[in-house]
Amino acid sequence: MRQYALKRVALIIPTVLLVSIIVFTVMRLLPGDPALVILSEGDASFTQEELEDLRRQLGTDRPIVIQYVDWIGGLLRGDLGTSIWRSGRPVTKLVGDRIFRTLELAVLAIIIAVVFAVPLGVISAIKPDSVIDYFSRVIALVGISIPTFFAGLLVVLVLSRGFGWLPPLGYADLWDDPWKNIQQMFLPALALGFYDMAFIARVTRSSMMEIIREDYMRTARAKGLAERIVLVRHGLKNAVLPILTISGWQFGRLFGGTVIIESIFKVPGIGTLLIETVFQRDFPTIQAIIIVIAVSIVIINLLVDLLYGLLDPRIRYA
Amino acid sequence: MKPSILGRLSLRTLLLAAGVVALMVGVACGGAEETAPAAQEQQAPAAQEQQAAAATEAPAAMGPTNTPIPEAMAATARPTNTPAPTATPRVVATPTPSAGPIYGGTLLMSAYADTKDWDPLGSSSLSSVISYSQLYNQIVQYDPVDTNAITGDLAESWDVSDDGLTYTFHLRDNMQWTDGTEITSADIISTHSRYANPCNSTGRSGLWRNYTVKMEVADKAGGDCTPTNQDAVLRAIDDKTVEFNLQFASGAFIKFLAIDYAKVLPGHQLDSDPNCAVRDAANPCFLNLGENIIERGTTSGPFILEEYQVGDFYKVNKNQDYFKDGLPFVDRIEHYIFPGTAKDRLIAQFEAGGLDMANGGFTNLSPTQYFDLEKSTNGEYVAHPIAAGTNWGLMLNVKKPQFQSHQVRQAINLAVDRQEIDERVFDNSGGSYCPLMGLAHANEVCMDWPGIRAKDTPGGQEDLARAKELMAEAGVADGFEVKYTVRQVGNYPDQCQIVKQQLQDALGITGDIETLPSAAGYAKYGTSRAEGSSGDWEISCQGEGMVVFDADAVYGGVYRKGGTRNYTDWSSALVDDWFESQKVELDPDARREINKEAELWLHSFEDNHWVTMQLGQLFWLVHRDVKGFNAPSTVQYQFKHEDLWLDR
Repeated sequence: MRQYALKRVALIIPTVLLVSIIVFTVMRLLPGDPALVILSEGDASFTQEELEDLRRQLGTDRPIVIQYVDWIGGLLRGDLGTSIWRSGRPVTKLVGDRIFRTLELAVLAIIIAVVFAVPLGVISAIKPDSVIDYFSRVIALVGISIPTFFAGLLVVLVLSRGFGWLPPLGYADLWDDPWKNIQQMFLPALALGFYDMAFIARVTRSSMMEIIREDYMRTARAKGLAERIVLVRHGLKNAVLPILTISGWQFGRLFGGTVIIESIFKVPGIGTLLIETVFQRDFPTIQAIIIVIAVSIVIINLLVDLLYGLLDPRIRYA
Repeated sequence: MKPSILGRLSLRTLLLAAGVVALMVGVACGGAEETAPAAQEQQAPAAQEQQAAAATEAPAAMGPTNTPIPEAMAATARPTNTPAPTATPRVVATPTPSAGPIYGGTLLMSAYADTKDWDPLGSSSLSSVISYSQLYNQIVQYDPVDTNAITGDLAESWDVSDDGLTYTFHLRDNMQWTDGTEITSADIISTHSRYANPCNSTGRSGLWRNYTVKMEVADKAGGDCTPTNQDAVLRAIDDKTVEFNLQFASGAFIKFLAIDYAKVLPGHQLDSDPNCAVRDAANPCFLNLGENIIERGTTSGPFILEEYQVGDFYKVNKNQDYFKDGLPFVDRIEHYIFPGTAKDRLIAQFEAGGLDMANGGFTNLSPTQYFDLEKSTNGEYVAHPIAAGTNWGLMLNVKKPQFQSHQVRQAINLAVDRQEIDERVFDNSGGSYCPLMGLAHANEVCMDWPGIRAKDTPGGQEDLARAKELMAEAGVADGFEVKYTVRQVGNYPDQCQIVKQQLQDALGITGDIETLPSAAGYAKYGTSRAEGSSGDWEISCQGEGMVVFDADAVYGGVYRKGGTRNYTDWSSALVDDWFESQKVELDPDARREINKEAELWLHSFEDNHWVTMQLGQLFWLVHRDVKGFNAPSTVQYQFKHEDLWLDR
């Protein structure tokens, strides 16, 4: 198991390195010069000399390889650099101030998705072609068909037009004001997790339907085990692997998907920061956000893989 | 046959799931938090209430008053506020407060865009002045009740010399910055010298410098911007008296000094570093960053900046030591940014009662959307009209090869269908189509001019035919391709979409539209200001929010080098001459004649960069529970919010 875990951890390094190269290169290939953006601020006039001076200060006049080595060196030391647009503000602080909100949103979304999807999928599987099954299938179909941003807009419009209510604006810290925080985060999380709920429900249903027909399920029933134990201990436990895979994969998707939902519900997370900084050509901040998202996804996948090992001995000893 | 346990299990599972759903929905919809809890709301004590009521209801009686203009000056000073805009203002009843002002509570406001600058130096964006206005004061300000009148802010009173050339301001006593330092004349000299310095962009904070003696600097070309005649422009007589010297008698000077852009900043902080313009978070005098103001800034205004999250919100708290006794009334204001891409969400927030008001007379909504909101909320929100709103225009980058030919620009001016834009974008709420906004020719006259007259009339058809001829003369009979660069603000993308179609149909000018967030758009326009650079944009739909309703403001914003909406620094000696002669003309009729001449020339497009669309009417959306609000006459002032209170 340890060897397996070490191997998986070691794989993180080339993955993150590759992501860093792609992000860095793409950012440099995009049109737009941060020095020009900064000097144009405030409708000010400036000379070519001032422009070149600023490029020198920002280091954007150096060869791209040198810039990359500098940046990756800082990254290894835990220094994400300083923001170009925010006048030298450490990127670590900019991202750190917001990452928890995005993480909270993504975690809440996946919790909502799993909490709703698994029972729905299981019931749908054990009562095929029943009203509940049809209901579950319709919900799953709708959930998969509606894009996340549209689900978000629908939630906003239905609540405001139909009920004259929307979550309070802004962001209350979970520890300072948990009640307000839940009010603010639940609906964005619901909109964000709707697609994943539908997807996970479908996977759960198909996975459970296969398991239900297995011999060992019949044997368990024949032994006189309670149906609940048969379903949960023998059925769901064996069906959980694909559910876990999908949930892990979806969590990574959720992390990126927060960009739009944060903007719709005005959650001040890294998604909104990413949008702002892309337009400002704030390379260090954009790179840091993407690296943070990439590393998070890699870590989540690693955890899922390790959980596989715990849940399925065949993987552990392979 | 299914075992009975299965039925019980699914029922349980269902009940459990239903319970979870109900709990979570209950949690989420458990009622909005009181924005102004009863416990926090404190009815003002009798004495305080009286004072506060005087401040809101009749500030002229309590506040500083304008020293009467001497007779000689009154006789010679030209009236600066020219005729009212042609758009018919809607009559909106301002509800009378049921009782005296109530202290406390939080005002929730919408902002139309993120803040571009936190330092007024060179500042020219409405979203910025709305942000920093709450933090600082001006020497004088527009009266919060009689919104056309000017009253003191830091100044208690002022005198004008008999010849109208010297303004002397007497500051109030006992005013202090948030760090406890006293506010004195030195602060005004430090701040306003920056605004007057020719090395710095005029922005809107320096518009008053068109009237004062020009500041000279040691060697502008060599980078030495040390003023050599500062005392001739402005000087401190003593700690509480400041003097400004004008080139000519002008009532317009004080109007530009009173706009919210002309803020007084802490001189002791500005002077702490010889180069306050250096972009460095560690430089305490670089006040263009919200973060710097929060961490190190010293402010004087009714509110103190507590938190700013780029692109999301900024929050301010009441300045407990504000020098105006009894003000402000509310404890806190939270501004939430809803850019042009979030119009639906903004409407939803208002419909759900999640916002108390917009923080300015611009919200990205169309007139019809305002009226619909009034209806859908049963009059809970009132759209207060601001008749002299914005000079909407099509901005041509004359440094780009496509627009260097004046025939091409003339063709565009002839081909644009203003009426269609008014109908489809502004719901027919527009005012004058004249380049000088009805301050020279009457709109009825301009309506018959080539290019402005309706396209479905014989004259309009002639205009289109002539436009094609001009394109052929310029050697681009089949048109060309351009890129439209538009800020995601208000109706700019819609305007450009229609203009693009019109120019494509009429002249074969095709292209894509690039939309950018507000600050990024401004930055892109600014790229064409650099010497020798044509910039990163070609054509754009823009607006110049009227600063004061005066021809000087139209010239200054659009047609003068360095103007806030003149990103290519286009200039014309003819226009400069007209501007100079009309601004010193004391006879209003004679002044109008000069402006008529200029207007005809501008519309001829012999050389021009700005295709005027119309004078747009704007609206300021305010909940009926918000008291102390009176709509300003232009969109560029009244952002301190110190007189607002919540009647809840």
